[in-house]
Amino acid sequence: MLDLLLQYGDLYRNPILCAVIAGTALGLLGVYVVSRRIVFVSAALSQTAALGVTLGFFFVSYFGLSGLLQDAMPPLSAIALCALVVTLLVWIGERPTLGRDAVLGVAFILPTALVLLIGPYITQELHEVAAVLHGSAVLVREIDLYAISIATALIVAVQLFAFRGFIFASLDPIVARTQGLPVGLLDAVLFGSIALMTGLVTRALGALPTFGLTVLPAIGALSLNVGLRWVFIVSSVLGALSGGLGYILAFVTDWSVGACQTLVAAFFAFALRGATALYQRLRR
Amino acid sequence: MSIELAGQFPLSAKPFALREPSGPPALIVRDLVCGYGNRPLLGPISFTVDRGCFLLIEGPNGAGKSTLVKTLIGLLAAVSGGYSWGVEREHLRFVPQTRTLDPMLPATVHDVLATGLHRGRGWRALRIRDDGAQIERALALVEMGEFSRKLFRELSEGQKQLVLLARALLGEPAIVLLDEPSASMDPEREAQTIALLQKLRHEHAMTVLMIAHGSPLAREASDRIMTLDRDGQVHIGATSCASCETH
Repeated sequence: MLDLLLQYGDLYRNPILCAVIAGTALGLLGVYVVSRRIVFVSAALSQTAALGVTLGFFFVSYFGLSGLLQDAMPPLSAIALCALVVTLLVWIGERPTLGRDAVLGVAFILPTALVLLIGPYITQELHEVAAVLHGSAVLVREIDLYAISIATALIVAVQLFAFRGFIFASLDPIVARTQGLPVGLLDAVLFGSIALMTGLVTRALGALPTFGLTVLPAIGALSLNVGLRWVFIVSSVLGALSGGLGYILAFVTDWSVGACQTLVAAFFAFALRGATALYQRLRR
Repeated sequence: MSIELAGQFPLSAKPFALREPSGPPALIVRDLVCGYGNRPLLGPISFTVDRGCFLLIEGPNGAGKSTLVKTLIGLLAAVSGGYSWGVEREHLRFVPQTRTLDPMLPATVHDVLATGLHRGRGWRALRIRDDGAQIERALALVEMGEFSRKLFRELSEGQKQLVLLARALLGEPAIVLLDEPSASMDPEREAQTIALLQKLRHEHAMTVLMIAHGSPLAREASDRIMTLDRDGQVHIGATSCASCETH
């Protein structure tokens, strides 16, 4: 099997590269998602993005779009819907009458129902929708690879520029406000980054690995006592490894790609948590 | 009570400008009504706090102590009336209760202290230079120097409170507001904290506004005691601070 992978390396280079790059960005953002207890944001955005992709296919089919519009419509619809959900989340904040969890619940369950309803109207693209939902896509289009690479570069650059600010706003938002930090703006940028990556990666790899690569590497990295900067670096590296090795595992075993990427990420998360617990016990 | 500072203060080589006891009052409050939205909870109150004064704010739960402090630091809008600080906002630091910090992020004590280096407003406040030596000096001030690499969430509540105080001091504030720092401290640490604050205000004219809940040490150290009642009434006790006024 590995011989086959080497033989047809050009064909499989894009999906492996895409998984590694997407894993890097999702692993980094995942630290915020898990530590701020907004894991459900990622789940809801994955479902919202899946609906966006399905709607994109529907528009392409209904209006007979072709060329660039045909390629761009599904990811653009996914990003637009994710941005809408994020805007609602930031606008609602912590209003006592309607909490964030309620919006997330709606953002999770409504797209799921709508995908099931719209699905039958796009029978020709149904297998692509299924691949998006279950993360069983084996190949990745070049345009998706480029889009994910550019988005990852942008997100890493923003994080490098204002890393301490994002940390402060996550760790102690009240005092951050009193010290002049634009906490609302930082939250909007953070949620926007999550929406952008979720929309793009869901279109390229599927909803399951998008959620898995966001949450699982961060769960492992957050057990470490190495300083916050290294927690983010470790989570990004684990995300990249999970994406790449998961694809190779799927290739070798002929299992679903998304499931393998998620399982590899889970293995890293539990192994790191276990090793950290063992290390702490031995130190006592 | 008098102690020797365990470390150097000011923490940076560059002295900050507002360490002189003379000058305009640290805080002027005029007919301030605090509350949530348009619903008043406290006031109207008027008072002036001079530089270097120690104002203790007391009252039962729900009387509005935290609401008053949150209004004064700009987290809540005043229902009516107003206030003005006699210093730039970046010379004002707030020490919250330890539970406001999210324990999920595995931040070390150093990481938490580094957040104290943010100054200015907006984009300017985003970029900081991690000054390790200054952080170490701030920790030494509260005698927590050996805890720099420890996880913040693994400290005792009293130790966390000292770290938060050190973080505030990192900003070399002219005014510091503390939200019940003694609630999570044993008497020894409380005495250490209050003695440190006393030292800083006497030697550097730092103004202290502290919420406390029946702390004899804080009462003894304070110049004035503001007592809030549940019915929204405010009583401000006699002052040993000559130029502070109650209107």
